[in-house]
Amino acid sequence: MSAPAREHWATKIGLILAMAGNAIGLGNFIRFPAKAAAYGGGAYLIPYFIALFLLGIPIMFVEWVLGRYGGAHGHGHLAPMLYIASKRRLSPKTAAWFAIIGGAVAFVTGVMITGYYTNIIGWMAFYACSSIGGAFAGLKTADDAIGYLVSFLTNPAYNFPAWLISLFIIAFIVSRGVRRGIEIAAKIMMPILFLEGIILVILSLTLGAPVKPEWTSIKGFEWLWTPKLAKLGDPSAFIEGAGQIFFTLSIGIAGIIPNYASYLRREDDIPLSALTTTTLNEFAEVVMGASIAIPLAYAFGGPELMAKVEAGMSGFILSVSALPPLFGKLGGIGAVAGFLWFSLLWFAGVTSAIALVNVITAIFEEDFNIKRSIGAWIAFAIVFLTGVFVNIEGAMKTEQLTDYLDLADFYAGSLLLLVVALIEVIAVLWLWGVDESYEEIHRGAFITIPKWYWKLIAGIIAPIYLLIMLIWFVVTGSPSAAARPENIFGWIAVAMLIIMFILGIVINKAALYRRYGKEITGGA
Amino acid sequence: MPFAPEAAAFLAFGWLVVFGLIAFVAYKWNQVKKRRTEGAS
Repeated sequence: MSAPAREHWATKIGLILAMAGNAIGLGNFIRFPAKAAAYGGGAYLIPYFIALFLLGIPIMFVEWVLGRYGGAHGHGHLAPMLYIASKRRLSPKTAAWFAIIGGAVAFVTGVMITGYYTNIIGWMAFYACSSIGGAFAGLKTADDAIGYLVSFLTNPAYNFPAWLISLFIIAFIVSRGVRRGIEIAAKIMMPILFLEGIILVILSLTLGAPVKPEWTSIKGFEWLWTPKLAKLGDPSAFIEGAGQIFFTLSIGIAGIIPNYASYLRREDDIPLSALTTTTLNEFAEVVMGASIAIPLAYAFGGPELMAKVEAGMSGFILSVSALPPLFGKLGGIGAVAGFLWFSLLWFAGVTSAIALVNVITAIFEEDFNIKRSIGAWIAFAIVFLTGVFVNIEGAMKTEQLTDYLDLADFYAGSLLLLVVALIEVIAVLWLWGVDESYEEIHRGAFITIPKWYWKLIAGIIAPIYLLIMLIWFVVTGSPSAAARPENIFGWIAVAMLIIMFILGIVINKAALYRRYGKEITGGA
Repeated sequence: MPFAPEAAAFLAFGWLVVFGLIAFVAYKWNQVKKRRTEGAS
């Protein structure tokens, strides 16, 4: 069967910006600095860069080659991609079930993450508007700021439209297609994001000490980079470094990188383009991400606040508790800086969420012959279903407002990503084959990946690393509160995870059998 | 500007890796551009 005609990226720069937008998300700016602060300061870069070269870059290559190969066969989502890669060494039936399960796990990660992630994006939109509207001027302390967050989250009149408008914008962009929607959005949003980031870095490092003379922002910058080498004795620093690489590069998330790579032409370069998007992401993270939130937070709360960050305060809580009162204290400049900060986070989130909604849309568009303009709104409806409980929980409770979000994040946003990545590596390196995939990745390549790197690092080290992470995560993460449903919203999250997994099985099986049914059942 | 040497060292390490990557990909893209220009002429 010949592959149906598919859209392609119009320009190389559009592809790279869209891929970078896919990778650069909230994690670059709020998760990375908090993790670095908690796991060794400057020394955190050692496990972080080890994971980048042993795990991040090789899996990035794996996802790109799987995507382009799948796209050449008319596929934009993971299940059929896994099938055509793995059927070379598995029987069609076994390959089909391997692909269906892999596709279903990817589907769960996609719809569940998009559900809560778009909510957080909506919060950022609200905060950007609040800052420019002068609302931060009344926040004097971190407690005031937390009170402001709680009043927002518990008021559906604010948080529901903030979420829905952001989700609507994302679905609208996706509905317009790859060239007219996603690529144009990336070409507009990514330069704005980088410009805002650079302005904020300059502001952050030149801010001085608006609260106490000894709490200069540059002192906070120094504090972040001061190495705490003893922390490297703790294996969790290495797991956290690898975890951050996963989040930041968006690897293993729903097959969004394979999806974007599926719009490449068969002879388009992979190695240099993938390395370029990785590099842009690292710039946004290590250079910009480390230079904004922590220095600003230090200028607000000094060493006492940093001790809390070192003890594990999340980057999100730091961003919404320390930065709004600081921006409020800075007057007009602060209002603009607050707008820049939260709109930067909004852009970072939206460009990633577009990829998440697009991969769900691709399933309906390509395997069920539903027009993209309708498929995007079906994806919108599914995401609405997985995301609305974040709103409902806020509206119905007065404390512990994020049980649904935390549990969904624990399983879909942390654990299952590793499973998806492991399945992809096995499919490409082991089932498709080292030589075959190596040859495929070099079709039209501008640079050559050393064969030993592909064979040893991508084929052996990366899956072992993934397996260790998975075991570690299950053993150490399972006892945590986020892993256990403790109330109705926790149980709803469990139910949604199960329902979406079953839906993923049904959809992926139907999609696969529509295209390869005869081959799988032996009728071809 | 008071900046502890060990903090400066790790800052330099992190930025060197990132800007090293930037220099590498920029150099490679430039080579691609050159090859294309030569191929076209």
